[in-house]
Amino acid sequence: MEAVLEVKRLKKTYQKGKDLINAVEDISFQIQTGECLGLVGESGSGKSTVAKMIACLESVDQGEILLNGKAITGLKRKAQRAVYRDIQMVFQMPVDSFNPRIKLGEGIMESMINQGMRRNEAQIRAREYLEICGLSPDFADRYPYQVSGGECQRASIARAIAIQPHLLICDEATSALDVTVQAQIIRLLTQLKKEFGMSQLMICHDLALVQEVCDRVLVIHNGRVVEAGTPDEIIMNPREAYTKKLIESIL
Amino acid sequence: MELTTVKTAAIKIKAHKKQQDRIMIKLVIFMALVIVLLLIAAFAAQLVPYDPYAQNLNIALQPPSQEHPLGTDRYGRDMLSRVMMGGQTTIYSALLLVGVITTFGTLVGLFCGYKGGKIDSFIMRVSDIFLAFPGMVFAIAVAGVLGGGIINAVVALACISWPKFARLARGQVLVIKNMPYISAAKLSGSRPTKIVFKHILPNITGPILVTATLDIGTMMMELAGLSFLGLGAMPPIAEWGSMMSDGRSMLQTSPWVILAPGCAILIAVMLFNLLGDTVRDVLDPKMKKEKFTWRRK
Repeated sequence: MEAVLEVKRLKKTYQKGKDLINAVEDISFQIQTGECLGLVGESGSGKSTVAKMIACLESVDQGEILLNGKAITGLKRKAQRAVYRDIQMVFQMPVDSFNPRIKLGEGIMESMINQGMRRNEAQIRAREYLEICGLSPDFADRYPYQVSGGECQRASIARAIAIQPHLLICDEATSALDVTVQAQIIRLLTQLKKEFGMSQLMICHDLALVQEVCDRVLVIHNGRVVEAGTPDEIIMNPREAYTKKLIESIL
Repeated sequence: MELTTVKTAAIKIKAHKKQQDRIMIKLVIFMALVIVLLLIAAFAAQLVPYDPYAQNLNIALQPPSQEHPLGTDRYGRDMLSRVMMGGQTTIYSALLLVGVITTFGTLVGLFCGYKGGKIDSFIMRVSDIFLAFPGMVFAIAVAGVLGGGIINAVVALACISWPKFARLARGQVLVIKNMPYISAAKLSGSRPTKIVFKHILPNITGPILVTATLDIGTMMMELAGLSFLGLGAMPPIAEWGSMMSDGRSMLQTSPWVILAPGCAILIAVMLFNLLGDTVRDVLDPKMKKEKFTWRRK
């Protein structure tokens, strides 16, 4: 198996007033092709920062990120845009992740058009992807505030898979949704993983969710990986005190 | 119990709708009045009963009569014709001015807000310098240096007024910039120009449009003020401010000479301000249908 993504000793420091905050201290991991890796930790543990750095939305202070063996850290804007063909992201707030002035279909088409696809072809494709994600193709003509959160998240997944990325990052993709919708979205993500063979990085604070979808889990605390393993291993016999606390807080 | 809450909710929705309808009616009325004003100003040359520049000393300073509804000035020029002609100068200069500062200010604000960093700080400090001076004094100084003429007055006022729009736009951009849909647009591989003009600009036009509409009246006053001081439109050209300054020595003997352009300014400024207020009511986010968000508590 080949690693889609390799993260080596990542470090990120934010400046807040006079204080320096170490959001990410030292994180390394790999994601294999077709694997789903979960990053678990409480809020403020640095997991979202890691996701943003991988998606080139944040600069990297130290360390290296390799995508398909090529470094994507410190790239110029143009080269960065090329990276986005292979990495896509699903955000936490589904409704906010679509421009309120633009129809859902238009938002899904954007990445395809940016890659040089013709407009009417992209239109047809956008409708296809909406259907794959369990929505009626008519949703392409709706505005984000006209659909529910779950529907909007499906549309945002459709947007993310529209250019068939190698890696799909889900940054708390289900935490803004209610429990039944959560289950549907999780099922959709698992199904997509099987169908398209794409690797996934799930950022989550909910260990129970992680157990269902992820092949491997990293527990992150204060910007460091404190524990790694399969979800069953971690939930059944956690070694670190922090992991135990996380599990207790859920159950 | 539940029925009453449903009922009160229904009543609330009805009241809200009524309020919305009232605002729309107001908008239509003020819009229509402003359009009438603009049309009169635009076709002033065809509509005037007399030549606004033809002097006839035999009928100088005549009070309002049937032939001259607003009287005549000291050169015997028909005041009604001059007020209409003056409207063309004043209103269209004000519109030009607002157009220029809105466009320029918004572009600067978009650039600064999106780019950030040192360039942003530098341009914002420059705009601070402009904002630090009392506006009118600075405009008088600039107009004085450039010399008279309506275009120079527009330039002078544009110099002092653009920072307001730049700051407004910048503040809005800073809010929108951190929305997930901007990250999503970046992830879809869009260029910065596309992100700015397709995703940011349409979402900040509301407040900018409101400020611009409200500013038309203010700008009209300031332009007339500069002309009144002799720094705007040059004499033969009819302009409300310079017409008032022309007639101010005759306020006690023949008040119509100053009242006619004065009332014209009053009406025009009031109309544009009322329109601006209504536009704000329409675009106010609180008046819009509530957006629903899902947040787990």
